[in-house]
Amino acid sequence: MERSISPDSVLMIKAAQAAGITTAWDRYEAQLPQCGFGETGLCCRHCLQGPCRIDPFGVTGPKAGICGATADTIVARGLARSIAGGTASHSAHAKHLAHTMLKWSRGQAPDYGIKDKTKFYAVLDRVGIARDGKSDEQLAGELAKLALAEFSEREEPPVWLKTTITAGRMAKFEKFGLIPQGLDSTVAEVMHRTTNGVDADPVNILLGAIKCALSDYAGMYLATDLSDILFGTPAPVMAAANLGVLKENAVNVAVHGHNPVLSEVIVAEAMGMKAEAQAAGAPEGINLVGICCTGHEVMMRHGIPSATNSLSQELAIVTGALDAAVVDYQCIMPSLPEVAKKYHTAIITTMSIAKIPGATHIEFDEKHAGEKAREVLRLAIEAFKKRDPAKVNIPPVRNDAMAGMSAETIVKVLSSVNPDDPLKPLIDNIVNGNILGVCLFAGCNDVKITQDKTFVTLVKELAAQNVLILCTGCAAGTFARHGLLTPAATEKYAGPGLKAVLTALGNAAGLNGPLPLALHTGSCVDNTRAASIATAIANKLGVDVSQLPVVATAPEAAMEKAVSIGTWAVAMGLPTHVGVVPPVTGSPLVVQVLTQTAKDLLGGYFIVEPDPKVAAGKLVAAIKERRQGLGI
Amino acid sequence: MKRLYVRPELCTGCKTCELACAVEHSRSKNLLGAMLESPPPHPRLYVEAVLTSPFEVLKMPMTCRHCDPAPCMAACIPQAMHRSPDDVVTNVGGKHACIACGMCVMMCPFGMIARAPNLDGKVMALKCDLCPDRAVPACAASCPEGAIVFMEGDEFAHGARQRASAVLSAARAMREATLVQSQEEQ
Repeated sequence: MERSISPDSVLMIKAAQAAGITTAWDRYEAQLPQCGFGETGLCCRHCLQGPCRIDPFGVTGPKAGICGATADTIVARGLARSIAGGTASHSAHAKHLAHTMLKWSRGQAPDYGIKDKTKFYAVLDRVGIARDGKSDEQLAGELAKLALAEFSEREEPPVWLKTTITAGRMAKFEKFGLIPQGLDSTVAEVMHRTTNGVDADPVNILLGAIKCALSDYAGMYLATDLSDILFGTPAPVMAAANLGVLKENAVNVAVHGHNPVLSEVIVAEAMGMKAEAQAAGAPEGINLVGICCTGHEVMMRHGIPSATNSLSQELAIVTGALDAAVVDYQCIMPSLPEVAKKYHTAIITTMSIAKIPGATHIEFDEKHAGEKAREVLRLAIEAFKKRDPAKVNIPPVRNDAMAGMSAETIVKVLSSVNPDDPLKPLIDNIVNGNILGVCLFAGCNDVKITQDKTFVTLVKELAAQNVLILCTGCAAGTFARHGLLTPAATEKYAGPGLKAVLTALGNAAGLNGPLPLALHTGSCVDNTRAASIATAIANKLGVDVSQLPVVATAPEAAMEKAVSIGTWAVAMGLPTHVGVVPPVTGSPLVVQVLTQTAKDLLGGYFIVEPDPKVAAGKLVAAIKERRQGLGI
Repeated sequence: MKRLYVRPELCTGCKTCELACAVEHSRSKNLLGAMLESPPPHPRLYVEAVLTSPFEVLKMPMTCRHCDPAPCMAACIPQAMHRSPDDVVTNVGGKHACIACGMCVMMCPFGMIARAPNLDGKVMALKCDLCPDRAVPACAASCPEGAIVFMEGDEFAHGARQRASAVLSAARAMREATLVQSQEEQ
């Protein structure tokens, strides 16, 4: 199988092979064949009597685990736990931001502040915190405490759920008992109900898993709100992508992981350290680049280029020009220090809960944020001095990429067409068919399939059929490095209706040309930005999100977080495509609930389809079915 | 003649070989498709567990030996079980059809023959055919630990001799060292 279609990845995979460096692709091959019981979700390790596994053919092997759990129960339990894993990750990210805001409000995090007061006040109003007569510090303290209170056991529905969804969704969730008691408490509840001897009803377990996924949604929404308040709401910005953004004449520092709490301060401090980098022999100073979602956080707020995605993170080191990788948490390969051994790259971990053997650990804390950021950058400059010019091999691949298309930005662009009723131009164009529907591209790259191939094939198919494309996280990273976040891509790949709309909007926004083919809506924790637009449209039309011609896809999903996001997208009413078969096929019942029954209950459902061309057909059919339902 | 050989000390009991065997003997030849087939495909080898002590389970992949002379062939009344030109003992593709009498099931000393529906739903004797469509049978190709291998008998025996020799030479070195030590002490 071809490993990647990203030209910079292809070059660096070859370079890694020539240098005898093992990457994720090699390790995947070493894992083959992967265990069929794990692949189908039929292995249970939830008690010490196991592992138990069910014979997927039901011929010679066991039909139940030791406790009596059937294939349906085991598969549902496994899926629920992976959703809990994803939810815990996003919630930890959100809590980290809330703690930072709380510390700032108490004067304990002087390097932070309220960057976007408009959003600050809007969020305060939405969550019901009275603003009169209070200082920003007081308000930030109240907001942070309200945010942290979301996570424990509550008597009322989570604020970030009930204030951000349609009344129709809320009624559905109440009807099926899907309202989380608290964002962390649902994670604990899933762990409880999936342990030996608790919930054995596969459908009930799946309902618990969906409830947990709604916690994921609320935690993500909260994270995006707090990030925007602390660091600014993203606005359109021109950046670049691919490994060609690394510079031979600069100290190259990659920020990698997910949370902007550290990377924002690194961006701020890097400017002041140019002279130090120059003195070390780097005339262009410090060149910050992004990997994975921390990269997208600083790309959409500061135009920092995106070097590569999570799957190809090791390849950034293979360029021989990466002087340091500063990592926070999530999607960081423990292999980085091993690859770095062959080069001079400093791998710097910064979070107390995410250390890697062989890396240098500089523990980050908000009170000394600036100081810690400078310490990290000094380490990068020291590493730069050890760079071996003979090993430098930066692939000459670089694409422009426009980022920063937050919900606020999209509304602002629409306002330039109709200031009184910003959503009207979008709705009108959906009604008249210029825009057939909207598709949110999210999720990861997955080593099991050729990197970027499903993403790129699917987006071209959908755009040609006039589907408006939003993207986040590694989906945005993929589109960036294939030049699809550009006006030129719109000219080349958009269907006539979509092209006309993107051109009109681009011109109205003063771009003198169309908006990019795909709108970079944020990092992967920002998927609720797209949900918020869908909710606003549904509310304006007086319908529910489940009726809108809006779909989602994670064509190359890999992580537990993607499973949680996909599940809440289904709960929100979206047909949601996954291009990698998840470990649920061992239970025909679970598959049926996810792909069919969910549609009757919630409106949304999963579409599992590895072939991007077939998937495009299925997504377009789902969009058309909804258009028909709305009578358009 | 290459045959399946087993190194039980390497088996982790994951049963990947059983899955791979069933998939290879399905219509669709992939796990997802095979699971949806009716009747479901049947494996032709089995990982058996033997309790060797209250705390230890020996995991033993059991494969057809394609014996010569083969008791299953001798017992086959309609003479469906035969030895193919490739030296594979099989009841498929011969002059006579299997009548599912179960004589071979009773006679196989290793229990390697099942009486179960084939892909057409006809009950018959199902056994290892050494995967005629593959260079290496699916079980050996899929084993993550190398517990099942497909090779010449000499080659397997040579490997076993090498492993045993390594242990013995270590013992010999230890013995020599002990002798030197005791001579020095004298």
